[in-house]
Amino acid sequence: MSQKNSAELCTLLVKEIYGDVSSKVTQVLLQFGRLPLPLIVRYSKLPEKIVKQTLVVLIQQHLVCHALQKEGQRMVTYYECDWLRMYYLLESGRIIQVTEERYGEEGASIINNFLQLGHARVSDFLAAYGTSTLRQARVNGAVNENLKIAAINTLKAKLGELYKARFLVQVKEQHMRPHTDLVNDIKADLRRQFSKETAVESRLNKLILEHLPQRLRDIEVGDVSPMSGMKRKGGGAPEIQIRPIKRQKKAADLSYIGVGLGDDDDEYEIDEEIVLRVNYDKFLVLFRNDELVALAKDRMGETTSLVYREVLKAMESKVLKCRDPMMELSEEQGKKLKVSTLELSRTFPDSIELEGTIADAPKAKGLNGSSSKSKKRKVESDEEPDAMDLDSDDDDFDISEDEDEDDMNPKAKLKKRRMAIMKQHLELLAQSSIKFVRLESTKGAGEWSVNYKELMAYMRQLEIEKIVEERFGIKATRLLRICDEKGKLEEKQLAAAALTTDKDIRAELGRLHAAGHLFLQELPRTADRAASRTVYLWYFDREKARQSVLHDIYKGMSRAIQRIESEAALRSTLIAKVNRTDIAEGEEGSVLSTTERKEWERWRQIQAHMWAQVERMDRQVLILRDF
Amino acid sequence: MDPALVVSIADTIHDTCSEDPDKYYEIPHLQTMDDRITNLEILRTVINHMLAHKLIKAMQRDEESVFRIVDRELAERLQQLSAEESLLFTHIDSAGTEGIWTKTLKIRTNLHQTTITKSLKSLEAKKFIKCIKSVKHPTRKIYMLYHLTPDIGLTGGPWFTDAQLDDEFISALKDAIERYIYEKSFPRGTTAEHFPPGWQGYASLEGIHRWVADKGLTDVAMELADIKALVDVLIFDRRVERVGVRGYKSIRGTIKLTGRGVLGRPLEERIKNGLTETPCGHCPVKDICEDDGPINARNCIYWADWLKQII
Repeated sequence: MSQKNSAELCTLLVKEIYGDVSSKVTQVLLQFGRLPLPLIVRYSKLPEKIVKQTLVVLIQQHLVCHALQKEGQRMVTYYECDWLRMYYLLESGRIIQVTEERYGEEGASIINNFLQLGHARVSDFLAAYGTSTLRQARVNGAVNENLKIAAINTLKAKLGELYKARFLVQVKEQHMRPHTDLVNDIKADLRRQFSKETAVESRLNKLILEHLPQRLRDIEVGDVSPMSGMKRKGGGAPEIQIRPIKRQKKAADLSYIGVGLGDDDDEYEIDEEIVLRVNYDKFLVLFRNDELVALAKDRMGETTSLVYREVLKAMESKVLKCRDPMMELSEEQGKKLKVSTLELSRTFPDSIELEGTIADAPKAKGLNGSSSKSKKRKVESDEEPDAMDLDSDDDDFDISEDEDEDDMNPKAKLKKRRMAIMKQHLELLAQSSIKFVRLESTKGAGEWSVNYKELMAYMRQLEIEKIVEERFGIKATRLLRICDEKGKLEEKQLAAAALTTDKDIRAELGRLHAAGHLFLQELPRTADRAASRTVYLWYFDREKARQSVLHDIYKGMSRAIQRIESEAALRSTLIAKVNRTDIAEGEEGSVLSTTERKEWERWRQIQAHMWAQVERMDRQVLILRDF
Repeated sequence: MDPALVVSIADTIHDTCSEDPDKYYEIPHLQTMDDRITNLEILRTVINHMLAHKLIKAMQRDEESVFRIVDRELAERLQQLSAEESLLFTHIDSAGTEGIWTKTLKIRTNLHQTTITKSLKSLEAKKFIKCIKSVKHPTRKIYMLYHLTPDIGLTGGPWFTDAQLDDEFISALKDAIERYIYEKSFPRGTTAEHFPPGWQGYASLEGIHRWVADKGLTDVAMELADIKALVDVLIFDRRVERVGVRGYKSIRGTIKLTGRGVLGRPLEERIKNGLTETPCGHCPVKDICEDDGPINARNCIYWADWLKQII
């Protein structure tokens, strides 16, 4: 069973957070797939009442989906696990951390609560939260009614921000249904819709398949129009007005940190009737950006990576999820997500020092030396993306405002200079063998796009290579890369490309083959398929390699978590002692002997190290699977 | 016909042809060399005489007979060969710089194995031929005329020394080239991290080629393609990347020039990753490791070692 490792990991994660009973139920569901209640009860050997309660919790957390199905006379509810959601339980820590960086403690605590609740109606959430803040206030001393109101108002605003930035999304009924059922529903719906148009079955099927991805994505992503889920303060649903929407859009274009609520902030607030949950897709986009910046830092150095970070940030609000098929489709149609140098320079933080990060070309002219003639030449040469600019100091952008350079005040001059250097960094990113960005047009001193699909394919490959290199050494990795680049190769050709003899690489190839990294294609030259008359071609299959590595990582993660459990079991008395409720927090030291204290310290270190290891493997999983 | 006349004509032809010994001569051409050749009959007798005395070699070109002159001294020596030796010599000669395998010789000449072995030995002793090694077929005995240098297909090009791939030579040259590329990859003496975009000063294939030749790093002549093969390996190793159309550039962080030109290789840093740092990434028994199996996370000795190491 190929999913054995991932299923094991998910069960462990559920156990870690929701305890043994939940993990037993999920284990049954993962092992047997879609099941009705009686069968879950039978397989899990748990009382029906407990299973039911557990299912409620798991459904609330979106870890289990359910579907009602007619079977004969009666309706049967089937339950199914959403294993990816279980995996994402691991992400909680990072998600809260990222939110805190962006929205402060309040935002982090909102997200934290939603992570714990699974999903919640805004009004309920506010009510519950209100009382809890109230309680806090009481603990601190006097009860302050105003504080409560203020807290709720800021809370609501924060919720609105998070919702606008799609860190929280609306939950619809469809989100509770298993994927297959959803697909079947949509197919049935489309069939009804198109059956009037055509009676030919094959054409009908084709039409259905054509529309399916879009519909699925609509449900997955939800309503992305700026006003959905918002309402006018103190009034009903928002009246659709042209003006605010337009403004909204513009604001969203320009601001990338947080949300573009702009002036309308006061007029609109989040609709209290909607139900929200944490949008993992959006957080994954952020994590992916982090990885890309890290790669850029490794390859291009600190400053360039900071410029790159700004590029990715500028696009962030419009990237709804990683591996978005619709985005890839619209890119094929030429509608790429672009950001111009000019836009970037407006929001580029002044704290990043750009001066002196790029060496001067020997032919460089002075800063003020560019004549109108050379400017014109530049604009022309800029029109072909390949034409690289040799003169570094020369500002080669053409802003619509006709600024005469001599009249510019020093501040504007500095700004222009910074923009020129920034553009050079962008060009360097485009010039690298990993195409971090692509030049799309010359509008706004150069418009840039990011090809996530290619970049992530490269990153996945790097990740796999790292693992192979650690396991088998540089020579084996070289062979793997040659196969990856050149396709299917005979032993001799491989040896020639690697500048070694076939004798030398034979052992390496054998080991790579055994580990499932390289594969063999037999090509018999005669009908008898004699081994001596057969050509053997080596090849590398990215997808297969990815899968096998992924399962290795799942297994590694499971083992790490299991080891933590067993280490904890070894110290159960100690842990019980420390966790005694009658000891106040921070006072544990007083009841422990010296040896116990030492052991406790060691146990905490073990935990820290092993969870850190799990986290590092999780990073690899995200790169290989989700980004 | 008078033998003396034949010898005399043969001498004239030989002398005339010797002026350009590498040329192939056709019959009409030979005919014009001496006035005494009034008809083809005379020429035929003369050619036969010369062939018998090994003064010329008969060859085929486009279904036409052509002739090549043989050095008198060599002809003299050749004449002393036995019939078998002579036959073998002809075949080995015709194989040119590619040489000929003893088995092929046997098929072509239809001689007995012992005769062939004996004759080849004698030819080799007289320094008419030599035995060479082929990269492709290291076990085969391949013969070639003594004075020829083996073809590149046999020697395997500049990377081979005595039909053996010279690993040390390759890696030394590779390191040297990598350093050359590195030195041109990043600006020095400033705080700047990069050359400007579109920089033309990165190492190019031609530049590397010229540098290798000028520095006299090798005795063997390097073709541009040989250099490219080396640089390609550097690219496969992800140590060098292409920039622009012709440029090659070191990937950042692959080399640190420590002290006076010592190559520091912080590669280990670059390949660190979560999986292989946990014991499971290297585990030799990972395939039989199961939660309820004989090998599991609880009794795993690798995890125990790991924990001992980190804390």
